[in-house]
Amino acid sequence: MKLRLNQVSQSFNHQEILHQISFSTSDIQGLGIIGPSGGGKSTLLRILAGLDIQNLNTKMNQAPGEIFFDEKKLNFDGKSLHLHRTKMGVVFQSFNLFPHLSAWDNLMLPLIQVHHWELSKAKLRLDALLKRFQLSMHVHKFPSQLSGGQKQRMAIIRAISHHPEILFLDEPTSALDPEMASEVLHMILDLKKEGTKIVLVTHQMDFVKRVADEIAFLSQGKLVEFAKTSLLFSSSSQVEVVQFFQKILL
Amino acid sequence: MKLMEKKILSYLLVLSLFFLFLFWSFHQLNYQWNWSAVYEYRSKFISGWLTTVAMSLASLILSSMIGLCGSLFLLSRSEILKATARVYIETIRGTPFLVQLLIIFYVVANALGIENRYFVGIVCMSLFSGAYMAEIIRGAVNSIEKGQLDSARAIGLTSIQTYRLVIFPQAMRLILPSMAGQFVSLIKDSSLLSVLAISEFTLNVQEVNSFTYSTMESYLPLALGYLLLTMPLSLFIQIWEKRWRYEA
Ligand SMILES: Nc1ncnc2c1ncn2[C@@H]1O[C@H](COP(=O)(O)OP(=O)(O)OP(=O)(O)O)[C@@H](O)[C@H]1O
Ligand SMILES: [Mg+2]
Repeated sequence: MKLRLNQVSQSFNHQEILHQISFSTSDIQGLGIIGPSGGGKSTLLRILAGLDIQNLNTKMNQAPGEIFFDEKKLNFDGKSLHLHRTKMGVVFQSFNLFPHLSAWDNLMLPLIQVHHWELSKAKLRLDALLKRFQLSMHVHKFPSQLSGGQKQRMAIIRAISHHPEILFLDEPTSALDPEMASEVLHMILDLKKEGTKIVLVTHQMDFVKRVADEIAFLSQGKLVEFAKTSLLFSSSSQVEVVQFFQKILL
Repeated sequence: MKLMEKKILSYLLVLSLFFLFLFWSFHQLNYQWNWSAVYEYRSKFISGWLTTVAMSLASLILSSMIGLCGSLFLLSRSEILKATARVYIETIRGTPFLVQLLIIFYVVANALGIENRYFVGIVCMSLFSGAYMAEIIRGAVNSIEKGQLDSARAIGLTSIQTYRLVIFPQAMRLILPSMAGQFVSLIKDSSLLSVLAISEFTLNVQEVNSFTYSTMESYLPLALGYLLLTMPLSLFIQIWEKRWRYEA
């Protein structure tokens, strides 16, 4: 995938949360978004996934920033955004699965209601995914009966079952204890190996190193650095980035 | 099974004490019971009771629809719809039902030239109950975590699908018991319709009383008639709430 952002901004209550973010990736498989808490990572991911539109800061009289996926411009009208969302997959930190539906019904819901797959095709696809990630025996449980790790892995299955162009992950493991986090991590690494394209927000540096080919570092709503993963970690020229790594690794 | 037996025994004990006390109170009255006079008018009891049931049921249906619309107005983004719903709800909830009945019947219905008092009665009850239903539904919808709405959008559901497949099925679980409770009040409040000279249960019983001068023999069956309607509803609420308790 190739992603190009041109002056993407976001404001809430006339306060600027994202300030004219611009970068363009090479043709990569994984993009990481990292940086200190409150820096605007989730805000940016939500715009890229088509969940939020950019609220224009009227005082500054700016036009909405542009986003291109493989040089195709994303339009921000309701219809285009809905279409965009059906072509993407998203997994949040929590509240992914609907509590009133069994895991199986959660997985079936988008395939049947959104993508209008035949029942048999949907079953075949889900059975294969469940088997592969060793979740078949849990599929008739309700979310409240699943462990945190199982819930997240089910959510990932739901997000990839329709073969999305990109899988967006916003701290998919940070609500989990380490053991469960690692089962989710392995699943994501498996998907990456298989060719799934991923945009990942995370605080785990070892994780982002393995998933992302290029990384955007956001702090206080600004893009501090955009670079290849290996370069960012080995030889960043930005003081803020270096300090951030030092704080995290200590 | 042990627990069940204990429960039944407790109920039997409490009920028998209660009836003993009632019986004793009546005994102190030295009242001359005369059931035969009242029995003559049994058809009035039955027709009144049926009228109450029919009008309450009609109001339940109409008020659910009003409540649904009201809650959608409250949840909408339009300020004018929100204001409309707020004014309606606060007016209804802030004034006595009796006053609403009199104003709607003698002023509004009169101005609109509507004469059927049964129809007006049903509309009054529905407007009254609908205001509470709107708040019940809004509360239930709002109690669903915002994260679920994000999830619904993220998997590509439209907003109508989100309401239909995600919000309402979950809200229903919270709404149903409150709605049944609301229905219980509705049935009891319907006795106020007697002021509009609607031949429902209470009015009919009042008439029987004035014909026979057998006050107790008229009003005891009245109480029983209402209990007959409200008890199953209360029971339903309890069973329902137990059934969904597994939810985390
Ligand atoms: N809907 C909103 N309304 C108002 N302010 C918001 C909203 N969403 C986010 N913000 C603010 O925007 C800033 C950036 O939030 P964001 O969630 O994007 O940060 P983040 O980088 O994802 O942080 P974290 O690592 O803690 O998840 C925060 O100061 C947050 O309070
Ligand atoms: Mg975040």
